[in-house]
Amino acid sequence: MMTIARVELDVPIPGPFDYAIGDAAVVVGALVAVPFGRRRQVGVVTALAETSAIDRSRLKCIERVLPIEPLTADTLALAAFCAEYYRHPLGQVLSIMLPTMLRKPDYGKRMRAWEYRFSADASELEASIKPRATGQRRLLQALQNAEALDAVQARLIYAGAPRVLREWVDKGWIEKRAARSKSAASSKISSLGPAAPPELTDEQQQAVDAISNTLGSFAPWLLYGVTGSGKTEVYLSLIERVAASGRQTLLLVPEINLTPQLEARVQDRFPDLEIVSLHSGLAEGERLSRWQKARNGQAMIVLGTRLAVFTPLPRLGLVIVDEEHDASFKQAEGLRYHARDLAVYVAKSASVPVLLGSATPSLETYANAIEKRYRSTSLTLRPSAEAPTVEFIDVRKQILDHGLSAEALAAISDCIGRAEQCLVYINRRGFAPVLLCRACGWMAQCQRCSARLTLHSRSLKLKCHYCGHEERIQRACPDCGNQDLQGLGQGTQRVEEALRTRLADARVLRVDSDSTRRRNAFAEMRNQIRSEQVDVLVGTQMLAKGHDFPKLTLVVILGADYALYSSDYRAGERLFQQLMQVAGRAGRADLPGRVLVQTEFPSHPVYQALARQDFSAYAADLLAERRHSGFPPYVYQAVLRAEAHREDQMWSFLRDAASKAASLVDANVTVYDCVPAPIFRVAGRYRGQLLLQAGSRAAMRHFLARWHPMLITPKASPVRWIIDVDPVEL
Amino acid sequence: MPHNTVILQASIVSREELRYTPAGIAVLAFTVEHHSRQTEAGQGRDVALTLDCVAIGETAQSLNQISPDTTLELRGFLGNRSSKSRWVVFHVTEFDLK
Repeated sequence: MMTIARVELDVPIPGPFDYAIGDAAVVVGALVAVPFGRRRQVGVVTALAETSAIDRSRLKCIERVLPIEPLTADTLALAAFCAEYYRHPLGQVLSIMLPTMLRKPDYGKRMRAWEYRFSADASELEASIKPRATGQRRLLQALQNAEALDAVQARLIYAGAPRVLREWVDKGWIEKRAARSKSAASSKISSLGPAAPPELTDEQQQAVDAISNTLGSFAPWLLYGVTGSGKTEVYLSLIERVAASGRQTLLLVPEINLTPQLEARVQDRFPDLEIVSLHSGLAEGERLSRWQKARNGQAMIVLGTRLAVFTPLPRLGLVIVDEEHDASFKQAEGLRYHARDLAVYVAKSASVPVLLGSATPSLETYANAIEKRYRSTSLTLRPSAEAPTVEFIDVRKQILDHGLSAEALAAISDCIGRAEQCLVYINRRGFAPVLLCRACGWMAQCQRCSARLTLHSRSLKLKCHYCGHEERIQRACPDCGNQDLQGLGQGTQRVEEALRTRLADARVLRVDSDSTRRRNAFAEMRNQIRSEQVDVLVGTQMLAKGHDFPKLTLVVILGADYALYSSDYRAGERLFQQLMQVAGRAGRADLPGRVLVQTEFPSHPVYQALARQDFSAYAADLLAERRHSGFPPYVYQAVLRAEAHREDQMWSFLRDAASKAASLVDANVTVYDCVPAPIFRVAGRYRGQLLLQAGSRAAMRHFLARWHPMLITPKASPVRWIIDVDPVEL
Repeated sequence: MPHNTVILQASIVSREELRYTPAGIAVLAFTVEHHSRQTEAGQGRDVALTLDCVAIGETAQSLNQISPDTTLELRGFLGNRSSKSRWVVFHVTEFDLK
């Protein structure tokens, strides 16, 4: 008789943990609430057993089974693979895969949500609010603006809402009733009937046909399509075929900001199909209901950012990864998975094709295609526009005006004169990256990081972009007392300010993670740009990805040389991808595009490749370089990252780990030296790393499986560490 | 405190645009000209001097209002333009109209 459940929990200690089943009906895959230490937690049952190594009297009992279908064997297998491959505790992997609502022990207990509305005349209520009770006033306004206000919204408007609303209900001013479900209504995007599919070009048709022929079996595909070549049309045609056979498509996109745009396009095309988008910006309840629609096969198209790769899809027919080269597919902390790689795994387990689309594929994917491990198909023509012309402004002997050359300013001014839009791209936010005292050479430094503080002029703050520390801008140099401190270098704010003073009539809009912090801010800005209320955009990489602005004809690139100084072997690849992408914003429809790059190195290969708009030649050069110097994709890497408040503790952990690695005497794996991380100190912690390289994925997996358990220390250690498998940054 | 005091009668001949430090403090860079007769080793002689100056805060703001060619008595100290330069700049801390 199975009386023991083995449960994986979201704790840093490796599981599973044994619990007595009691009288609960427990199956493998069930989500259960269990006591753990002093807390209650949700865990996933991964096995049932008859006996436990723990004495029966000390065994705790499963408290309840969450009222939700158990996870399938496929989902559990994906979790197990992630745990093993990325060397992460299985319980934590499972927890990351589940919507937050399902991580709550009381899930499903009080499903009833309340909402409030006026019961009668509001004047008495209005009169009762004291002038300084602004929270209550906000609640009143919300009640007046909406037909009904639900309890969750109310709390967001005013933290004291539960008390106030109870009071108002007691006085008979408002009434409380069970909330009506409205998820069905809100998830549907209004549509003017199906948009007629444009006729495919020959190239697009060939791609669709070739990929369609592999439906029903595992086949990895690279869709290499230059910007403006219509990759999305290929996706849509394939989705149509997959949906026609009753199967689901998983479409992964790099950035949350891109999902609404794409969702609208997909929904317009397929008004009768259920589409759900999944990303981290959703409210918990909404995410759960969408997840369930995907899981029960109701949603035919699941669109999402990297986390969506974990969505259980019972009738999966096709996986698409758009902009597959994008770094945001790699999770940067915790479970450091790569959603593109997992997408290939998911497609393989479901025996369906996976389509990796990009104008600048990652070298990993590109090498797979060249060496015929992946099939490939390309779109080389731009049906809607010419390739932009790329010119360089040599700034070696120029005095720049807040980072802008006279030529760039003139081009921007001409562009505005033609009533077209222009984008000034500078991938650095803030006003200036350094605050400097010229009298003595002092620079503002973060006290907790080995990094300089960035000057933010709007908020009059110095901010650390590594640990988030903020402080007021000093009035005088703390070393010598000089008050004439200066910002050195350029960020988006400085360029924005300079453009406003130089081009007094121009409407300048800055788009970076500071100006779009507010909810919906980015969507509003997009509308402003599309409705031509903006002449000049100043922005970071946020603007580089996938947005179509028909009136945008000029792209000015500033400060790109910075990336050439990087010690990361991927810097060139990344810079090229970024530049190609941002250059692709210039010129759409019938307006030719122009790209101006300000640089001190106009003859650098990366810029020359950009000028020729030639990805394949540049990729071939980079791949030859990588092969020659023994870097990925020709080797497989893992890096052990460690950090501690005391430098000696960090080093001794890493050295110990290195000697344990050496003791395994594995000829297939090279263990390098322990080195400081590129930013040595962040938030008061010293950081170091140890790089491992192997000739094959299997050799690395095998080695890590032996080495990783040796690193785990039983007691609480002052050193935090993680193994980053297939790191994208060193 | 070791001495570094300069008193100079001069007039402003050119002036950069008033600018502000990131903390919002006004800074004015300007150039003055001075002409006088001085005695050197028992011999009277003419002296002409053109000098780069800087003023900070309220002094900067007031100097920005002064019409050029007004003769001023400037008081302050000398320093190098930057840690990497030997160029001398007169830091004006007070002034009077003459």
